[in-house]
Amino acid sequence: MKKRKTSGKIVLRILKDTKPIAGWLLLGAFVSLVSVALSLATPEILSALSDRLYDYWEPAHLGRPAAFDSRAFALGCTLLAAAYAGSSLAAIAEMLIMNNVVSKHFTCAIRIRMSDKIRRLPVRYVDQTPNGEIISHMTDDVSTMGTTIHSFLETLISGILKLLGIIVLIFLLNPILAAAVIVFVPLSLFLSAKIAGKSEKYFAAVRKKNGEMYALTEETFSGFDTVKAFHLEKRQRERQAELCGDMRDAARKGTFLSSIVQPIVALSNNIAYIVICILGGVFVANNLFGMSVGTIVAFVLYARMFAGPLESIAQGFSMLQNTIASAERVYRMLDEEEMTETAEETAPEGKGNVRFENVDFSYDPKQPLIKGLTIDVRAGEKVAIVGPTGGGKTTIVNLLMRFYDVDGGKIFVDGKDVMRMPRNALRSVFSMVLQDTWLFSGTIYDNIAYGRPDATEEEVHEAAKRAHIDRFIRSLPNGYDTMINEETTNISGGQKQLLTIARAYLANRPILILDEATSNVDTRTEILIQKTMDDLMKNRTSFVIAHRLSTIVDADTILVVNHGTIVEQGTHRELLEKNGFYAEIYNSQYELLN
Amino acid sequence: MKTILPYLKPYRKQILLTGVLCILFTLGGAFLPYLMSRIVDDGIAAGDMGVILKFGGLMLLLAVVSMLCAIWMGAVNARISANFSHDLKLGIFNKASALDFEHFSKIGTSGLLTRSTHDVSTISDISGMFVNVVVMVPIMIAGGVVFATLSDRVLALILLLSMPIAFLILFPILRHLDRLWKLSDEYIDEQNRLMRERLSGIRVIRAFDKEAHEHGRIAHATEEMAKYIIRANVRAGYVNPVCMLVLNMATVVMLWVGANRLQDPVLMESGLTAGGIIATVQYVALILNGVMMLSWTFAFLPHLKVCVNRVSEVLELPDEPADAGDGTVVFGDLVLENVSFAYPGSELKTISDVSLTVKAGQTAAIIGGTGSGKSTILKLLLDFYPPTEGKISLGGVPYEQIGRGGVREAVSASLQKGMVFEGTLLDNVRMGDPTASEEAVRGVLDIAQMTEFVDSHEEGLSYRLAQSGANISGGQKQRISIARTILKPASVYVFDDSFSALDYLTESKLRKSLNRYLAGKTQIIITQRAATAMRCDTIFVLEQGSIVGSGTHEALVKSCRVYREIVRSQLGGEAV
Repeated sequence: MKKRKTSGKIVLRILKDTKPIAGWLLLGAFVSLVSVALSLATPEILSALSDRLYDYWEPAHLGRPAAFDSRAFALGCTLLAAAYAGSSLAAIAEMLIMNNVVSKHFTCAIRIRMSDKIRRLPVRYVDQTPNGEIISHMTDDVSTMGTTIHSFLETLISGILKLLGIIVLIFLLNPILAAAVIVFVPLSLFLSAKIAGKSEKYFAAVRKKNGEMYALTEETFSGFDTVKAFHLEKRQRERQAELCGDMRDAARKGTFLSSIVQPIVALSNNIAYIVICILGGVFVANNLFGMSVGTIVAFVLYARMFAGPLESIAQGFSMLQNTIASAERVYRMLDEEEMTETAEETAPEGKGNVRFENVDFSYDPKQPLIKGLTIDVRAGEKVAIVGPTGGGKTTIVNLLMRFYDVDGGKIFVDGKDVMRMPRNALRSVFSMVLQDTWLFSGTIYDNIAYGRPDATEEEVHEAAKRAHIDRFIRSLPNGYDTMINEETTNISGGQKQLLTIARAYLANRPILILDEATSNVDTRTEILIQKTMDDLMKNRTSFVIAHRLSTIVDADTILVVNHGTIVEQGTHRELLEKNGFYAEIYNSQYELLN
Repeated sequence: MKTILPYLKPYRKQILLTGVLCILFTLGGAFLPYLMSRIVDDGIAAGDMGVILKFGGLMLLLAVVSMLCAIWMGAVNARISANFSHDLKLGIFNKASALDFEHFSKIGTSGLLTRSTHDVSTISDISGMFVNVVVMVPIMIAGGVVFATLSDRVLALILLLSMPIAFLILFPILRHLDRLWKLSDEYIDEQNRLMRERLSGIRVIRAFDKEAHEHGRIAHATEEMAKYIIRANVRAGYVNPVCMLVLNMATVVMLWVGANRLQDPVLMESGLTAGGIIATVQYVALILNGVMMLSWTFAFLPHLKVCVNRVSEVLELPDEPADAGDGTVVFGDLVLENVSFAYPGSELKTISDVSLTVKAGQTAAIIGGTGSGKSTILKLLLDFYPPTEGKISLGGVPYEQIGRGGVREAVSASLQKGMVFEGTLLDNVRMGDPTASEEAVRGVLDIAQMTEFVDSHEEGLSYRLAQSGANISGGQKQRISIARTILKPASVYVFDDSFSALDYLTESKLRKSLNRYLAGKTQIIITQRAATAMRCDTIFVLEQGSIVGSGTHEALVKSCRVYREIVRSQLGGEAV
């Protein structure tokens, strides 16, 4: 019951979302009404023509002279042609309206709304939701919704209209015959809706298995060397065979079920057809109810028209379940709680004083991570954060940049509470170089200038020179205009990292965050850019996360992080004297010597 | 096509059966209007109730039989298409996983992925339709025309002529449909790619306050996509109304011509009747269906061709050559003699003239920067590729003689990426030795410093790893793959940058227990880190594909400039 209620709510919401295009949808419905009316008129005309044909033929057949009224017949033919043409043109007009309006103003608009929504969602949401999921909501789910809106008019509106129109018309023609025909409608409607619903279940299973198969294939090919090295071909093949087998069974059942809808509808139609012929024949032969051969022809044609709308209504209902599920996912994303912004404070002046005061934080309320952290960093100081992998070093960066917000305590930049200023104002004083080098698809030039689109060409080249990547860029066939994209293979991980260093250099902001900033750069290049890094850090507050302790021994403060908490804090000398965890880490790299 | 057709071959008989059923079903449908015309002509005109009931009963029988035929045909068709799709999917997967590295990398991971998922699905979807069309359309059209001819030849001719007219109108509309579909697909990919890029770079984007800019890029792609989708759908949307229009017009012409011909006494003698004309008009519907199905096939054909070509490309590749060796594990010294290697199709040598010997039981390191050719050596050691020049041997037996399977039994390697597969932790480690006990698996996981991880999960060894290890960190993946590597009973163990995601502390603990566990076995450690290499018995320094120094740490610090630089930059001056 509860499920039905939410389904209703979702349908209402979809309808509400179609409000901007309501006018067009109404026009579409009107045009389809015209098309339906015209196509309903055609059997009527055809029936009149048949009667006439029969009248010409019967006397002639019996050897009596018949007057062939060629003008009246021509008029009838012209009328029929006009009705057919009008109906087809209206159908084309409706198709054009629906395609343009639904695709442009419904699906496209929802997709853009979703993309816009992401701007206001916290990083936490993006971290916790697999990328593929968000993308599949944006493409597959939205397009399912679009298809439904699209077929809504075609099936539900024009289908039902057509059905009603036919029923009224045949009752007008002959109520007894009509009653005999109409009995079959609910029966075949019920049967086909049931079957379509059932086959949809199998198709859902097919889609699920297909997803699993994709995952298996991706895993096998992306780990091809491991597969070969450990003779895993057989294992992967067996899994694939199992998935394919399951899929085959579900596909066979689904396809079979959906294929019997048409014969069932056809049979019920044919039975109606036969009933019309027999009863109609009896009526005409006995001169009952003023039936004529033309009426029988009209009946037959109307009965034929049942099949189309019946099938599409059945299909429309089976699609509805799917659509509601898709819409639910889309709306859940659109309803996600957004970040709140306050602008009680303006941007920090950019001197570079940072203070953490009694900061508490956890990703998961059940597992407190940081408790009562207090750090005082004065402008121009170098703070190093060290510790084992997975220990929570990056958390401090997350809090500093307000990718995540503190649970308790306060963070001040230049004396201003970061929670009281807009996020972009806070971030405008930071530059970052991260371990996973993120570059967007675009030219090398645009990537370097990403943080400062107004930079001059000289400044961009200078930044590249500082990062020791200018020579390499110029050696590429397209130089600074070289496109970086997924297929880029002639730029190594190290070179990409140098580009991000150039980007940070150009951005020229008072506080610097270096998270394993040279981890992908090979050793010899690292020596070269060490000076650039020193330049970058000079007169700036900097937060450095590094594996290689040699680069941080000169830090003003070293924070040692383990299991999410700061276990030690001090200078290199102080910490070594303490002979605690830091000393253990520091010595471990030399231990390999013995 | 040559490579795809054999997949349909096992279903020849079933396809034939569908054909027969289809003929029966179509005939049944086509006979109904004929019987009706008999009711009109003989029953109603003559006022004979018996005739009306007789033909009515016949019609009912026919309708039931033709429905049964249709349902049976549906069952056979569903079986054919499900089986065909199953066979093809499995066929291409098995083929792809049997490729050697040369051919694998020629098509590439993502290329193979599209071919074995998207392309195969498209082929089986469309070819299901295709079989239907090939079998049904000729029967429908021929049936319609033949029955129409029974009534009147001229009317049948009009019916026949209407088809080319419909095709002539539809041809220019559908000709570029495939291109539009492709374009809209490309924009969907573009939108998704931009979105993926944006989600993965969310921190950098927000740090530079570029959300509006990224949103704009995506919105643009989405709008372009909508534009092409609309164009494609509009073109496809023309098919049905246009077919209807042309054939309905044919109806009008047939009525007019029929009425006129009815005035001809000669024709009248030959049996042209009003009922006949009315029945002929009804065959239009039969032909209409055939024409529409044919147009759709026509629209899909180019797409099918592209997919078939791409899939054939894979199916036509040669299998890995037969294996020479008998798969027994060979022990002894590992020797590379003047080995050079260039990737197939490349002039450039990634490895040139490398000679090195790792004595049985020794631990050797190969150190070098990115692009120095370290990982290529690993590929040669695992016999992923044969060397272009020179020779590799283990225990005095050349690799060719040991055979690919034998080499991979003898050499156990842990790769940089730390690949894990969807399945339990136990499964993943056991890949190294399917016969290993749970105790043994726990043992190697302990050596890999994973005990804490195992204990922190209720499921323990049954903990499920997601596809590509999405639910664990890079360091954990590396450690699982190390555990798998050492579980395998081999003679040479190779670690390719396998500690890169581990911090020094974890690495140091892991290496200590590893050395105890592998005591007496040959170890080769490929690394960028000096600290990792230092402790090994012999270190080979690789630069630009050549060995520029070898020996112990102490000796190399004195003799090798490249090595000295690496050490100094990583460990500071004091280490040198």
